Amino acid sequence: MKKALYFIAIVLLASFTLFASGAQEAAPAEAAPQAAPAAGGVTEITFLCNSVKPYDTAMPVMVEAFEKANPDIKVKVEYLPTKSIYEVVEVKLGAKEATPDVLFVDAPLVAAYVNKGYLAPLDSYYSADELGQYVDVCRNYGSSGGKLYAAPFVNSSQVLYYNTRIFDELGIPRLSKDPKDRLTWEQVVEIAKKCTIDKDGDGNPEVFGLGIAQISRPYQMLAIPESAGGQPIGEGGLTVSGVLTDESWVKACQFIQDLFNTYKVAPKGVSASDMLAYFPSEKIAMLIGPDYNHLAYSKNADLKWDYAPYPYFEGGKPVTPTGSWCLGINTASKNKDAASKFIKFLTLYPGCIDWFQIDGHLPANKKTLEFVASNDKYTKWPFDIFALIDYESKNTAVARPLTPGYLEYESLLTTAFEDIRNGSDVKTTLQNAEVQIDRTLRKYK
Amino acid sequence: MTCSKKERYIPYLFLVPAFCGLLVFRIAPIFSSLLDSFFTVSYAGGAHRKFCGIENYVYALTDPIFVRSLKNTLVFTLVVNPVEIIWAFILALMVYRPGKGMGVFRTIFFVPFTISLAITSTIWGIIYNPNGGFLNSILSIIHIGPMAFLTSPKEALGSIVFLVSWRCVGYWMIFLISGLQNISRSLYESAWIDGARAHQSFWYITIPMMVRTFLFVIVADTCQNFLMFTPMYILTQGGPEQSTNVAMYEAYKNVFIYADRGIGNAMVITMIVMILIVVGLEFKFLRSKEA
Repeated sequence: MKKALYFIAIVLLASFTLFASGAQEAAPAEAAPQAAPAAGGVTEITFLCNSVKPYDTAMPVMVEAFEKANPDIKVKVEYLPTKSIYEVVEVKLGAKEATPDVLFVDAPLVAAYVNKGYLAPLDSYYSADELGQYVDVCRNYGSSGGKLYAAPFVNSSQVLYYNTRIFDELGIPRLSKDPKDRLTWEQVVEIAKKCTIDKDGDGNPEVFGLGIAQISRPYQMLAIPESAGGQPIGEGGLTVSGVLTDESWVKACQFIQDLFNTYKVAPKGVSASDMLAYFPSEKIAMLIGPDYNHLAYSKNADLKWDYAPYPYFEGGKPVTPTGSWCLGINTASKNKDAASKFIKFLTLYPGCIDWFQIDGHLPANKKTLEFVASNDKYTKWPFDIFALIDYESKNTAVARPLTPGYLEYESLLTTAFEDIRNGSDVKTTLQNAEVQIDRTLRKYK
Repeated sequence: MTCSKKERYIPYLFLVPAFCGLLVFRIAPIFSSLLDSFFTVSYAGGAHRKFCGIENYVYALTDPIFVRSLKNTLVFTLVVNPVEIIWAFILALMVYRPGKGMGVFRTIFFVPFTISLAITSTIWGIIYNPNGGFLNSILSIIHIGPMAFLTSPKEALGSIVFLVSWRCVGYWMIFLISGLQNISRSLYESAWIDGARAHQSFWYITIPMMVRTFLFVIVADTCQNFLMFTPMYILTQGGPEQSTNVAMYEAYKNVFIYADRGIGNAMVITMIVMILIVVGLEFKFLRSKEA
């Protein structure tokens, strides 16, 4: 018995020693010394990049071009899906690890990351002219307290893509591209009902009328309640009390639920990443999706498609999603100089134009917008889509809410939208989401 | 033969490497979590960590989402345990005797366990797809309407129970085969000589002799199922309507998404206490049944 007690005492002592030593606060990240180049004079930087299309195919091209122009810098790219990027950033940058050096930062998360000390300020790496290249609204996304913390990489808008072969077969006329003639959601539902085809009557349509690209994600879905007159967040960005249970939200979310459960024109059980493949494989006749999809669709010779403006609620106002990714430098990075060179290569002229031509996102750089405006290619189909998305970004775009608790807000709202899509009671789901979001935002007050 | 003082410590020296591994990777993190659970972080004007006593535990235990997740975890464990163990025992009874082809069947039953839980979840997600997934395709052939599976709050947890059981049953079967093979043949021969029938041998010899093996399998399975998280993370993210939200996933979200380490650790410590209580009850019940 005595021996057992001695043994337990040793275990406890050793455990306390181990975790107590691990519980010491790490040295302040700002003091992280910059690493000298490795032998041979090459600095390696780690880049945390989104793995969704088109980044996975476009980024290697840009990395190769950067390394050719900067033979003393090597870029090691780590590709991760969107959700995993958020989690890895919380784990690694939360633990003040030196890598990744450069990371994708979702625009509404800049404020949160700055608050947590994850991002290094970038102003010292830029001249005034260089900073002036960024589209003003995009530069604001990447700034906090008047300083730039994340360089705007891409912007975004959304359109309604539709399959012209299915439309022609069903005798549905082509849709107008003029924003003044944009369809209402109610009209979209009527067309979607015609396009939903269940040949064998087994309850599983071979073709659904409508798909929503980033289904259940607030980036995609917020525009719908906002079109009905709803606000995305309460005053100060630290509460949603009374916001999500507003009439406009209930109406919009009921409409979303009806798409999947009453009208049954949209497929349930399909994730956002799988939905991207549904339009080119003709499993859906219409897709509410991001602007940059046009590049992939234009290369698909078998797909007959066209585009139209993003819908809105009758009696409401047209609202389109916007905002996208920025590039930031980890506060604890030991290679900030090399990291800043890489970021500037991707986001400033002329690299931003090279990126745009292989990626297709709405540009976040004014010089790229000038390039589009002065280039004949973008007056012809399908690249004339830029005229529409340029109009939307100037007239109907509404950014996601700026709140330090955006990650919590997005995670809980995604769950709520998914539950609504699966048929849960709309009011109860929104009420519960309000309570949960407010509980998680309390730590920022 | 008596050992010298020095020789008495040699067995303990052999245990030191394993003990160090246990200490560093199991015991120390538990104490670290326990310590962290008494601190909270405020992000108003930068990150500030401060001692908050049992506030995190009060928050967790009054959070209806976490309480629901504890209930889901208990229900999940109470259903999966008997399903897996009974299923594994039936398979073990079929293949434990040496014979031609038995090795092939044991391998077939064990193969699902060699696939990682992440891949298994992804594959079953495709099978369960309500729009033309494999299962709904089979159902439509026999003129049964499509089922919602992972998109229905009533069916989602059951769907996950099945996929987890399908994967793990081969693993537990191995332990049960070992237990069955360790029962002395002479016991069955004696019973046969005394006129016992097959079902009597099963209930009065096999089951009592397997109690120790069952104890190990039930305890290990309980711990595994209490910490189950991967299928929920990959397939349902705790939905629909929190029906598959388990305590481990809730703790994960609090630490890695909501950046609330103190609350996440309080949830983990709560789960450890629950596991210890449940395992303690299992030990008490099964030990009393030991032959």
